[in-house]
Amino acid sequence: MTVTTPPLGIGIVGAGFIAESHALAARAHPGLRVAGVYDRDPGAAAALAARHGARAAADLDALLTDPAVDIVVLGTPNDTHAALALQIAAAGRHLLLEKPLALSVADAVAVVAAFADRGLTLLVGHTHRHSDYARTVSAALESGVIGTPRSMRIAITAGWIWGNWGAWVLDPDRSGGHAFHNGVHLYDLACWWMGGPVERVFTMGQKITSAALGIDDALVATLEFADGVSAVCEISRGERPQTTNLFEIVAHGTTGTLVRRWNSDGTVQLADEFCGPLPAAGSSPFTRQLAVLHDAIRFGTPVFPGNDHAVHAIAVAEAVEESGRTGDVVAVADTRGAAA
Amino acid sequence: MTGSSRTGSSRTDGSAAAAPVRVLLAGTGTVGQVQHHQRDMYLPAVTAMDGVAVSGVLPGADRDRAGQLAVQAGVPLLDATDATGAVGAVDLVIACPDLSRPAELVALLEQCAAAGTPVLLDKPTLLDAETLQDLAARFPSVVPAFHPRFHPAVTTARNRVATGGLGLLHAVHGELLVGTADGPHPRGELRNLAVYALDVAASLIGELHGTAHAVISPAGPDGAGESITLSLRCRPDVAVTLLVGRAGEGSGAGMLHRYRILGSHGQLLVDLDSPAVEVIGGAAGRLPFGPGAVEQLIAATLAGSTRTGLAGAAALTRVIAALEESAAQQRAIAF
Repeated sequence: MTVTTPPLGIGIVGAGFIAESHALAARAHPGLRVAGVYDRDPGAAAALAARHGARAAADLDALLTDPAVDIVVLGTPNDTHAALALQIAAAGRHLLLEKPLALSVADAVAVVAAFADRGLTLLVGHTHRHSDYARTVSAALESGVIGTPRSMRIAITAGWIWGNWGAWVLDPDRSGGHAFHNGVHLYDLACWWMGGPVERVFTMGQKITSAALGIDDALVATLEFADGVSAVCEISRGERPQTTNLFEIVAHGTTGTLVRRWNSDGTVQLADEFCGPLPAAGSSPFTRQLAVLHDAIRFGTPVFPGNDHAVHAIAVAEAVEESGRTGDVVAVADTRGAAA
Repeated sequence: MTGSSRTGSSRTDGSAAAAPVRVLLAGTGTVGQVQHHQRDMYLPAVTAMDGVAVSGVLPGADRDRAGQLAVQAGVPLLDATDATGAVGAVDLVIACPDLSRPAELVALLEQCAAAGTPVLLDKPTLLDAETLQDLAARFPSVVPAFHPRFHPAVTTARNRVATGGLGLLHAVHGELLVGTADGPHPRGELRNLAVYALDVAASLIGELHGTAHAVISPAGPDGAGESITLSLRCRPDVAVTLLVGRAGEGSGAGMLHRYRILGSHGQLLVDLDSPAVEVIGGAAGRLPFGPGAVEQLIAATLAGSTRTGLAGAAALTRVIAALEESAAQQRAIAF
């Protein structure tokens, strides 16, 4: 690709776990550069900025008014997403917003509208959509390799409960619970691959690591689409051994079954420090994701996934959390037309 | 679903064998239905077993099919009017009844009970619930032929669970996704196919009680059977999800049959496509070894070690009824 215009500057807000992946992705794209970093912890901001040749901003306003910043990558705790996104839209900056889009459908719709109204680009970080495996699954299903998909399982399980009792992810008011924090990845994939909105959900949540948890660390939701098509989405941080991560996909159709097995990446480690599969060294989904955002801003191409999908994932997460609390089958709010 | 008949369990010592254990194949299923488990499952399994042989075929309603089975097995087609003598002369009866003639099944079970001959009963959950409850009360020692729980991989897993290898279970997740095979069963795949996976779950957890949820996609015009996604929240707190389905024409004979068993201290990944060796570059693909699930079921029945009876099958019909109600009403149902 020939780049004839200056690279777009990225300002990273939140120098936590995922920020490094975004920074590396930005540096890998010729049309992007890391311009600034802000975090409530000045040390963390300075360290991330130094690693990527950027400036650490003294506060959020400083970053949002920095003329070098065209795009904000927001990776703060979930309960801050909606308010900060609205602030970023008001500042006239494009946004890559880490999932979840918001902790309610109402907030999600408001955020999407704020960017649309200002002609700004919003991309929600459903990063799995940009990964090698997900694109392969999508293309295979689209080609009809298993006929018409009718049921699916997506399972992402591990044992690394976040940090300690002080971790914000364990606070349901801050994270929204497991459905919002990680579940939205699976709900978004299921909707993409099954080709339609979810109508109803049934959830089984469990507190595996500790009965005192405020969230379910193992959460299994059955999503029901039209015509009895379904997807089981299983997300867990409560399994043993603690360091073993398993990721499986099964899709069953009218003429066959597609399987991404737990060892499909090809390398399995059996060692004292860790037993389990290791991810293959493939393409970076973060790089592809930022390329989508870049092209949408520069060339007006549509964002992928569309923001209507991101809003629907929030509606599914809301229903999943409610079903987990009540034990009932819960209808998913119809968000069609609610987001551009 | 048919059980795999495996190589490697053939007679080994070449010495003069003792008189084989005798197995009577009674009935060939329901007239007009495609499913023929005597031919496709039980005869191949018995044939592969050491010291066990089919000694005769007792016809049910479909005498022609029974005759063909007898020819295939190389054994006599017996006289249905002498069932008492026939069941008294064997060590095991494998019954594939005509579901529309429960009285004939009752008569057969009475004759077996009188003779003291153990019975392996194919697919008891295809019977109507009332009939099965009655049979469970009158013939509790009849063994339901749910062979997957006797699969060598499942047996290993079950033993690990039973001895505390995983700590306390908190979830069982599985898939039983098959090719066309017999085609969709007229009584539905919950009773015909999903029951196998439910029985495996019960073998790990114990009798299932709790809340049921199911989503069922109806059988398709292309020969695909129902697609079932079911969830059970079992007491004290074990989450079960199972994907069960039958693909349509052109899907071949392959199947995906696996379980992930999650406990407080570890997990088991169980794949019923093994034990097997793989052939790369040839047409054979996977070559299973060791006894198959049906052989293990027959062996356990002969040994009297199945520890299952018709009461277990009857209990599963209550789970199935709750799942059917859940799918119809789109709500969770206690069972």
